[in-house]
Amino acid sequence: MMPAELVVALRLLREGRSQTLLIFSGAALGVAVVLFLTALLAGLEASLVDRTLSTQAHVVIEGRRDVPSTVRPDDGVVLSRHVDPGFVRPVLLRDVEPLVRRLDARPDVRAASPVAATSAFAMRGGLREPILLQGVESERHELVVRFEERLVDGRVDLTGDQALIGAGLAESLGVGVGDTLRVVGPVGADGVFRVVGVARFGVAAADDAWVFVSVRRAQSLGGLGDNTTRVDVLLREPGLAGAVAASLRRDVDADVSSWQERNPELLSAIRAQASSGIVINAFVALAVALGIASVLVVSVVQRRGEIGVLRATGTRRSTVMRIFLWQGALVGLVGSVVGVALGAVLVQVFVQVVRDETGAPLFAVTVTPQQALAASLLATVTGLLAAWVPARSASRLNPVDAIKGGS
Amino acid sequence: MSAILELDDITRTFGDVVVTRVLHGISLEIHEGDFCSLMGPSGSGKSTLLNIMGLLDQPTTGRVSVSGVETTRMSDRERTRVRGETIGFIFQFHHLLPAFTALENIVLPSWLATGRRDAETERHALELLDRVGLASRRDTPVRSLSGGQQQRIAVARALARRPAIVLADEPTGNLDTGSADQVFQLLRDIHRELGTAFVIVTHDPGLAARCDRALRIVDGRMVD
Repeated sequence: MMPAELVVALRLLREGRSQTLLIFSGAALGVAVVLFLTALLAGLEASLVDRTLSTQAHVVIEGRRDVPSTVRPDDGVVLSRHVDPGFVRPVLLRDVEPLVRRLDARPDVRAASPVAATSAFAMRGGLREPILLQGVESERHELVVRFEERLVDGRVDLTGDQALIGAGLAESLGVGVGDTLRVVGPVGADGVFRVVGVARFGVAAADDAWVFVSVRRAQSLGGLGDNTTRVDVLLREPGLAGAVAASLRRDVDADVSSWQERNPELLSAIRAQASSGIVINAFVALAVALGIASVLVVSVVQRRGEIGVLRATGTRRSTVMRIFLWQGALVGLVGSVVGVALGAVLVQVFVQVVRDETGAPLFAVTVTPQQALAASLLATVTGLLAAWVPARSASRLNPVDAIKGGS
Repeated sequence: MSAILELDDITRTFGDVVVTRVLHGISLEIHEGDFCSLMGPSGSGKSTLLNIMGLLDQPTTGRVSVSGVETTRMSDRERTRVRGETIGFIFQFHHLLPAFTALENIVLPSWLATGRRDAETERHALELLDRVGLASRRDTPVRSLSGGQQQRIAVARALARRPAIVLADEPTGNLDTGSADQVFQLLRDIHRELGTAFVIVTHDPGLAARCDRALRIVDGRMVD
């Protein structure tokens, strides 16, 4: 059976009619706004991260880039670094097979793909474009870059002299599937490739410059011997890239970087977004709390006489307090149910209405059960806290004064 | 007969800077089965006295014993328990909970105090409802009842926890003559049937004359 306090709380709310309707609406709107905002920010963050990771591995292992530097002899503090502004030679990552075998054995790694990358030029007719020539094993690299999804024409086959190129590059050179392309490497070696696939990666830098060929051909054009330049690692859990990178750093003699380390500006944008989201949610919660509190304060004043008689007839202070705390919690709970539904509708409206120039949704926004639960929890706790002050004043009413107030 | 309520040398002052002494050393006993009126001019301190008798207010000095147990040093929680179990109240304004039915208003104090809504409490409440002549209105929200009916529900509520004494502060002060007479007669009948002690604050000498014992208070002192 329901506790007596809950029954009384429910009746008082029902009795309140328009007041009750107002605070329920306030709480529901608050929950809806919080939920909508949370879902929106989560969707935006997921889309930003997804866009970034679509062309980047979660962890990249590269050969150590030893930059000549001036070091203070007594304590080893780096005073300056001398970076060659001209042509940067590819830094080799040697003995990559045992490393890839070890990576394959790790349970947190989904795929490891060694890459032989070199800068080069692609030529077609009189046109000449700087490119990043990357030699990969297509099956391994498929997991990192998802060629199949991004293919706009042709197929993925990097055997022999075949190449897959970015859509931007294809446009600027005027080549398509079936055409040939001449590539000149940094040390003067050159080769001719047949374009079998054109892919759009969604990032201009990649679309305009990426050319994928077999490892063997990239090595010979880049003058890399039988070395690669990096290993791209795809994790099962992208969020753990920092920890995995740290553990790899102890394991291999190479530069290891997580995607977060390679995209500090993205990370700080996400952080700024998250904290502004928290601030907005906090103010929404505060506004809702003030609304609930003010309505309950009025309700306590209106029911002074009843509260006084309840106290006179043996009702404890703590029981009176619970009656009003229940009201706050109920407002939060019922507001949550309505608010979650309303928030989901808002999200749907946003997805339907806000589109990019091609008519596609800007990014995926979905309300997860966790977000709904968190918003509901926030509302219920807010309701309880908001009810605290009126509940306390109700429980501290002097029955004599309360009854004297008349009706 | 043993004393249900014993007041010993009660004083009550209000205010810290301007001290107003409302009660001056009042001692009195209410016994089982007493049916007393408490009369006095406005401002004589009768409401203050009634509140102290009902453990709603604390005396500045003096002792209040309920069934022989001293209460002035009890915690609020303990006093609330004693009050709920021993003393019933009827006020000039009924202060029923308008959202609840007649029956619920009678059951509620016991339910809130004990956390249980048992069959025995319910049965007793129905008896009382019948006794005050409103059995047919058990499921009517009290806001739809007349003033006299509401006050009769308040009488039933005061009796719900089988108190040894009922304190009534002008229980008929807000009613028309007909309803007032009905309610007063109800109190007399209940006194006769259940033996509950009553202390009734009233301005009406006619009603006071119908009580067995008359208490008079003037300027904070009991007078004979």
